[in-house]
Amino acid sequence: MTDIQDLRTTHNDDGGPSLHVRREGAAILSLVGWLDRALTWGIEPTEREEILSERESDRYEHVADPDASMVSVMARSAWSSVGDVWYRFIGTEASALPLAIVFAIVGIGAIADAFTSGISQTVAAFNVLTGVGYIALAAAGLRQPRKLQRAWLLPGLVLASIGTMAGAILMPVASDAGPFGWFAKAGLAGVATGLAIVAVALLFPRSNRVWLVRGGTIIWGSALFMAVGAVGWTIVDAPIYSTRWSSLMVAVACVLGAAVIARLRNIEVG
Amino acid sequence: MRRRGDTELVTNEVKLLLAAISMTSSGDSEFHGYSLAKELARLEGIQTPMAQSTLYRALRRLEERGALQSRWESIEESQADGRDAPPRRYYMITAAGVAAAREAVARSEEASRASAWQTWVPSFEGR
Repeated sequence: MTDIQDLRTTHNDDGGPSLHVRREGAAILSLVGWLDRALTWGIEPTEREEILSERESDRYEHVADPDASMVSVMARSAWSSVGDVWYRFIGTEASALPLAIVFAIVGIGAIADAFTSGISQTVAAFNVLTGVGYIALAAAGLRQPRKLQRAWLLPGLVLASIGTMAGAILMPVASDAGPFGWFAKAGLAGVATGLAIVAVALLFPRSNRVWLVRGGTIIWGSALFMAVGAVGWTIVDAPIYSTRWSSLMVAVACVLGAAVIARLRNIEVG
Repeated sequence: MRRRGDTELVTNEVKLLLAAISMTSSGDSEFHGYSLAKELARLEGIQTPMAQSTLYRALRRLEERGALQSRWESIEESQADGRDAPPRRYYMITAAGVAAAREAVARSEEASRASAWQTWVPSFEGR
């Protein structure tokens, strides 16, 4: 195999190799190769090997193409990575791994919030319950690639649903938060309902798909509602710096998590 | 792009098949992914070929539905003519692929005619 630093040297018309171009080409190939490896993690090994080999060959052709500029190589590689993230996190490609990562972040966030935000002990306890539920959901996705394991998924959904609903009911809403506090409260309750629907759907395999989608859609819509509430609340009533940031992080987590959860139908459950 | 009923080709798949037909009619019965993406970019008059993430997913789907066939070149082939590059995966369009592309183009033309007709009717009635 040719050393990738030799790329382009045979195509240069201006006589002599261009070290600058060779270094850029090698760096791009190396960086994008690692990105490809990261973004295809969890895919069945033989299939993954084929994908990586074909892309390596493609990048080689592109970098060695005398008609292509380095800018176009970089733009195409960057766009390809964006596409990979889209297909694997939000698009139609089934992969439980990104879902598991989002669940783990939400779970750790919920538990951390219980111990750091100075909320009442009861709410903190439900936060921990929610966190444990989400971590169980993450475990369900990490056990096998492209599959959520029912044995972990179901208890995780139940715990997360109970914890979230209790959190929604007990969450204090400051009077000067205007409607936004209620947006967040209602959104949280909606997320809990959606999680419960998904849990029930898993208990009834026949209606499983339809209700998984319905549950996912409710979670998606509610989380958007909650995100609007969290952002609005942050703007009108965030006297404490950390509260402002945690609200914004809740909003981001909601949108990201909801986008992923809405794709539940593409992920095999077993 | 949403796939209707898992049967119709999506836009990118149709474009790739048309690029494959173009390459085949120019004498390249086999082509690799990058050359196909480059041909498509040429046909569309754009600079940057389709991104790998989209390209190879579409090619995989086309192969699964029998519109394309593929083979990996051997190490010897990949090192022929001093190329000494990573092995390429070569694709060939099948008769089913040509038929699928024709059907998609016909359907698209039909949809354009229908759309033109719908635009024309209100303007006629409005006179």
